[in-house]
Amino acid sequence: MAVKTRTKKAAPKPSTTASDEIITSTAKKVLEPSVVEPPLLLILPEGSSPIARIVTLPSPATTTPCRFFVCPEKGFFEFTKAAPPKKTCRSWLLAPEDCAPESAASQQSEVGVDGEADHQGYVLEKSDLFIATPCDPLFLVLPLLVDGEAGSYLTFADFVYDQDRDGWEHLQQLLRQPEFTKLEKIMERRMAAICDTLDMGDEQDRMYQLSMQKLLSELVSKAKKMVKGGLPATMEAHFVKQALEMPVLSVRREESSVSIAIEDEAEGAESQTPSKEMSQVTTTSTTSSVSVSTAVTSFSDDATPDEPTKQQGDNANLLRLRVALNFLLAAYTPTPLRTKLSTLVASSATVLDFGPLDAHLMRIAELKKQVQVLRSLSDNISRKRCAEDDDELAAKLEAKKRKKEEEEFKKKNTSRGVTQLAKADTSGMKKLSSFFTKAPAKAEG
Amino acid sequence: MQAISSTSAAKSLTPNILPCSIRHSGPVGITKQYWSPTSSSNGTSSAYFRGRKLRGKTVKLPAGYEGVLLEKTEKQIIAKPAAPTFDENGELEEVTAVQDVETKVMDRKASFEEVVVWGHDALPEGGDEFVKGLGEWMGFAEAIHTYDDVDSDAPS
Repeated sequence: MAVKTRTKKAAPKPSTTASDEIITSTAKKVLEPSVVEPPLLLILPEGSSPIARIVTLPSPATTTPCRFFVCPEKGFFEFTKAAPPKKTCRSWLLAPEDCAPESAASQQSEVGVDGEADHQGYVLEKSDLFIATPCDPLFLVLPLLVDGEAGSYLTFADFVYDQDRDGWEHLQQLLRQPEFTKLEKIMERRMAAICDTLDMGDEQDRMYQLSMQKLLSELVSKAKKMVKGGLPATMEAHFVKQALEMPVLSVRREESSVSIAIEDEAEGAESQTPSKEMSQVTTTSTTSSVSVSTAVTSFSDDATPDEPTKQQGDNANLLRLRVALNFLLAAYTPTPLRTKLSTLVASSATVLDFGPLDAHLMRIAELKKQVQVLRSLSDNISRKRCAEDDDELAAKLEAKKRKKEEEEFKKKNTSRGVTQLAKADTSGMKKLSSFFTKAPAKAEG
Repeated sequence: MQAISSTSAAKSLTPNILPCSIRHSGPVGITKQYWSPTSSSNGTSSAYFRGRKLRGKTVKLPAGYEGVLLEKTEKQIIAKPAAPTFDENGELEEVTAVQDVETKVMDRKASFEEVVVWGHDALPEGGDEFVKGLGEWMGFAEAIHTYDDVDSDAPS
């Protein structure tokens, strides 16, 4: 098969007709030119209705057009693109089932048949995969409600079927179909969940206005649900574990033979900040991840082991809740609402009290600062690599690597003659350029 | 707006995400000579692609989802004109003329239930975007977006 793996531009591009001949000369089979619009890989909900549609709607958070999958039975789905960073080389190869994993013996016999018995598969250059995940219609109607002026109540139809609204044509057209009335009802109910309602007699004319309190409680209950199921592993590791990590100072200081005078100084610095020792007593878990010095670790032994761990768990849960809430705010709420909601979260301690968590985070930050101070102190004693942050170290290594690569590149590009010449001792010689100056001496003489 | 053709006669293909980029998109004939992955019992498989050893990890789609390969077509679905609606007084309700958005059909080319993520020589680690996207995100998204639809259709 004439699939070219060379990615250089010099290789005959299958998309041009002229290059087809080049391929034929080298291979028996001609690869057809790339398809202009290659097929897409999607993951859709199973058993969706045939009248389900892919529509474009403004995204809840940014109002940029996004694609949604709307099914009258299953509801709304948003598409998330799973794509690796641009740099990584990834492509799809869609192989037919009977070409997929099989025992080694059977394929051995097939090889001899040559490439004629081929099965249709696909190759896709772009490694995109669109995943449709359920989407709460609440977030879809949220941007509609935001624009409404304060104090004005509107009916559901006024919100959704607004002719002047850009980007909503697709959904409006869809919802007008009788099959989608069920979905319309769901949307209205979700709208009611976050709105103050005003009944104008019969069901048809119920009017809505966005209620921040209701929206907040809805978001909080969502966040709680997210935490209950557990945050995704990467999110947990990044936002919860890292944030709650206690600063650890290596115990190296005791091992290294330090003069007593400096040790005293270090101890003095600790005793100057009694608050730190206090905080350590309250926050160290039973594992006693903090071991600033022997003097401090002895303190942690005094602390009752039960209480701190329980507090630790509470804090972690609170932090998880906050991460979940922030994620909801960032990903699904319109920008004008975000600041309003976060101030509302801060002010309404009754709904969610982040107080203990904030105090705890402050303590960690303070501890980190103090460890930093101690570290710079101990840095004076001996400079060892483990004193540096991992990030710093990584950055340094990266810089070193880059430098080395650059040098290597330079080396490659200079010829052997030039490098050998460079070795010659030119200290006693005249500069070459000095021979090519004007000759003023001659004119005078 | 796109519709998805309901013909389910699509064949079954296994999408493999290769750790290399191929400068081509479109249908190709795949023979066992060039692509013959062997799977072991623990869900991993290995294959040789142009002389390089690849190791793959099979990621099953979560229950309730199906993978499809869709191709855009120029076929259009013409929406039926809306039936005239009457308001409570029996008068013909005026329907404002709305320009219908054209609906194009996307053809189901193939379907799949699992994806194989391949890595050079080593299995792709858990941090891989596809493993993560399929495993973590789909479950999490469901947790975010589930809602209790307390109100039933029955009038309260």
